[in-house]
Amino acid sequence: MGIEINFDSRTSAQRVQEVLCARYGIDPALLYVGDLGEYSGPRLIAYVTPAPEGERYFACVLEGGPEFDEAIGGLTELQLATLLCKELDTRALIDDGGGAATSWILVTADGWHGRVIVDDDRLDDEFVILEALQPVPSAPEIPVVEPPDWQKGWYKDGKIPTSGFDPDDWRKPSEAAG
Amino acid sequence: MDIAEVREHVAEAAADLPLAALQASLEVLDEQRSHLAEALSGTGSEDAKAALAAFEPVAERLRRAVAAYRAAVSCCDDYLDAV
Amino acid sequence: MSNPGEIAAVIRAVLEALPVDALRAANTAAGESAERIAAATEGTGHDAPREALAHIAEGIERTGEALAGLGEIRERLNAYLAVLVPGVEAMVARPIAGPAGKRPITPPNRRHHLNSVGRKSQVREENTVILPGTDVRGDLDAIRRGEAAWLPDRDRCLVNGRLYGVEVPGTVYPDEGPGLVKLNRSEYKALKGLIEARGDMDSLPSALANNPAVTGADWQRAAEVYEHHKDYRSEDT
Repeated sequence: MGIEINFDSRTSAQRVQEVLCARYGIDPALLYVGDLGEYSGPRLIAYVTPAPEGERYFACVLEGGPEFDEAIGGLTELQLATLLCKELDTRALIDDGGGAATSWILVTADGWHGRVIVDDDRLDDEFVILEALQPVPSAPEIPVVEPPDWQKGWYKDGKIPTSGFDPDDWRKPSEAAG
Repeated sequence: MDIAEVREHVAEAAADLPLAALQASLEVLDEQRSHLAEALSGTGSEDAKAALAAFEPVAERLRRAVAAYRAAVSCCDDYLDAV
Repeated sequence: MSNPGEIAAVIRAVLEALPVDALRAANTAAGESAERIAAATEGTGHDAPREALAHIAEGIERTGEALAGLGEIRERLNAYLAVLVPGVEAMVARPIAGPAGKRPITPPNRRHHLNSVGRKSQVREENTVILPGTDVRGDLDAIRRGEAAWLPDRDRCLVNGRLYGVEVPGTVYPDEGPGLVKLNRSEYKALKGLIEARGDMDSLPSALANNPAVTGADWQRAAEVYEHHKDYRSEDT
């Protein structure tokens, strides 16, 4: 299915690569750090794009293909994001799997995750968090709003993502349990 | 506007009446009704029955509209013959 | 035919084919003809033009009644379509059910429209693309008029065979139905690449050609969708 994690722009792309290669024994040559447009070499399994200079928000991006899924033992995006955010003391946004393009999962350095709403007008350029759908323990300054009555409709299976400190309690429960 | 221009305007306006479009719509309706009847045969749903039943009155209205436009064209022809 | 999926597909096709636009255009054309006849024959003293105008007025009225009848057909078919989906109850009787009854709703973000997909368009796990010619504006108008079925068990709106969801601020997003195509993350990325390269596989952006998440099957799926793009030429891809 592939992995895509949008780390806070202050995150070191190099450190993301180092942690992943050390933890999962990935050949650093197959996990490129830099602008993919300038890459020439063997077929990659994943890459990390550092945030461009001066970029705020969540512009350091890790993306992996099917071989990367295998290399990390089939971890879900949330499990991997939680692990990396704790290890690198950073935060990240990942897709919440629903049809509403403005609803994302925020993962924080303390290992917590929960849904936030980002600015739709700026979404094609940058992730700007407008509000959270539940309080964010490490960021009480983010305004909290009640999710709309029809939020269930955002998700194919009608299951609303949970929030909290356990990354195994949401999405692909059978895999998480294994 | 001289009489030649009047004739031209009336003839063109009569030719632009949507007779062909309504006839084509009648054919579309007939075709879609057949598809639907085949798909819904034996389903027993009241909504499905009502939807199917609603096709005929629509077709009837369209046939009347076609007849009205034909009569309008005929009146225009009468006028063109007279002037 | 007893398979609900097949029946639903036929109903969607019928909804799509109902000649609503043709009848509206017919009435516009007839009205214009009437105006021209009235203007050209004003004060001539002949009965024939007046009779012609009366017949045209009748034609317009009957066509209007036919349009109302098509609305009824549409409502019934939408209601039946809703009950074909297991566990779903249509609520067409309520004037404006769902989010549209609670806040103003706005059209889908332009990134959903195939011809507006760009290099920077945000990518999701699932991305619904609106093919050109799909009457999303008409669907929105129908939702605002309360003509859509709100599916309470799925929290989505059904109109003209298309399902829509609603974001927090009231922005509608397309989900599935005629004229809507669902792409996964890598397929949508491949589509963005094809659009940027104007369909030329040999001049794809190198970042995308190197992307480990985009595979051969993704390019194939993207190429199928790209065939509907305004820049597509048959010799492409």
